[in-house]
Amino acid sequence: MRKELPLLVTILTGLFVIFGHDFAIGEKWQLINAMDKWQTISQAFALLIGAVNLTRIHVNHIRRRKAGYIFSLLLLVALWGYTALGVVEGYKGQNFRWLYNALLVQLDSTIFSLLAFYIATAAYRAFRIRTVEATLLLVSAAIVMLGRAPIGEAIWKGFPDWANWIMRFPNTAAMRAVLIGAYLGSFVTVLRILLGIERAHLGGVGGAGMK
Amino acid sequence: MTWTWTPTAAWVGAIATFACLSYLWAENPVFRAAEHLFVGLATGFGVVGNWDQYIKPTIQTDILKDGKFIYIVPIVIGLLIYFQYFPKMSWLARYPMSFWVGYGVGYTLAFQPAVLMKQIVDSYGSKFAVSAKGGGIIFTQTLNNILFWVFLLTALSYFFFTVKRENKLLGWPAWFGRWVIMVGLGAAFGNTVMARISLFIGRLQFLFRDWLHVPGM
Repeated sequence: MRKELPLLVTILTGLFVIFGHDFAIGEKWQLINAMDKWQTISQAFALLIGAVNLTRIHVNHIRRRKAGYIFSLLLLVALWGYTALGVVEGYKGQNFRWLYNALLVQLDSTIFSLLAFYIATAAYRAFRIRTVEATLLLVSAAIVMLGRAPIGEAIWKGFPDWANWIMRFPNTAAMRAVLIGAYLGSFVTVLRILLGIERAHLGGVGGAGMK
Repeated sequence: MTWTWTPTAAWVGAIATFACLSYLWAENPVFRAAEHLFVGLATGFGVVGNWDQYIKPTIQTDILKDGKFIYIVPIVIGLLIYFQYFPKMSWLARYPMSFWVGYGVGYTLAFQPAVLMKQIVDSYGSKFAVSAKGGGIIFTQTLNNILFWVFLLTALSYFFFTVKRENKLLGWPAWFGRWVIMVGLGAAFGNTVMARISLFIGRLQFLFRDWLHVPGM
């Protein structure tokens, strides 16, 4: 019953959403709105699990005095200190927002901007493969980059037009093909879940000790 | 909410920026400190946002003020996930997961077909672009529409695994579709590179304009 009952919950919840959307009475009772609210509330109360997991891992590092445990300490102080400040001051509190703008936004955008350098080396490695596919990938990437930067237009006025053409036609067609495939895959998966064939979401939680 | 750079804030931001950029030289303790600080602050920001926008209003407004005690049920469902830390009762953590997966299943079956069908119908519409003025066919647009259709069909045929690729009828479109997908992925790659470079330009602008106050920036 420890697996059958959760499976029943999955099936009934799925059918409830379909009923709320596809049947007039479901629409009249606004079942979808109610389900959305329940989903949002339940996830909000469960989302703290990320912070709890992070804390468990880093407390473990500190306890065992693993190499670099001082950074774990810094992470925990930042995490719970910033959380406490936000809970006391509120989301729009002055100090909370100051730390957000002066520190968090700066760290965030600099770490992501680092990828500009690593993505360039990835492009170089792809170019060294010397296949038709790798060449097509890089030529298309180069045209899009040159078409999106002022220097590209300065070199040749046609670059922006070609970049737009690549984005509108081959790119949209390729992405749509991938999307259609993904949609079909997701339909098959949800049907398997609804019929009780796919039960992966019921196992693995809590590790091997789960019964 | 407007933000103006004070000298202290600009210094804090500049030190954080240099700490992250130091990784380009090598992995070093300053970068690791910045990295851990970032993870801690970002998670804290998420927790506070969640508390302020969902948890607090649900308890304060919905339950205590409006008396919607039924919302205690989803709260309990959400809280059951923490039982995964107690091996003997970890099976209880399956209930929230079942609820969310069930919601996702229902949502996919109820809402996705409309989105998918719209894309398919739009892809296979009329290929002839007609001029609004004279009623004649616009050649370049029509050619582009036909090319788009060919690109889409060939790219789709690349994902068609039911028939072996040795089949001449399906082999060539799949081979061409692979090229179309590579061009599409290249374009997506180029866009990503541009987004990262503009982030890097933004960092340089911050350093030169807001921190160093270089004239003309």
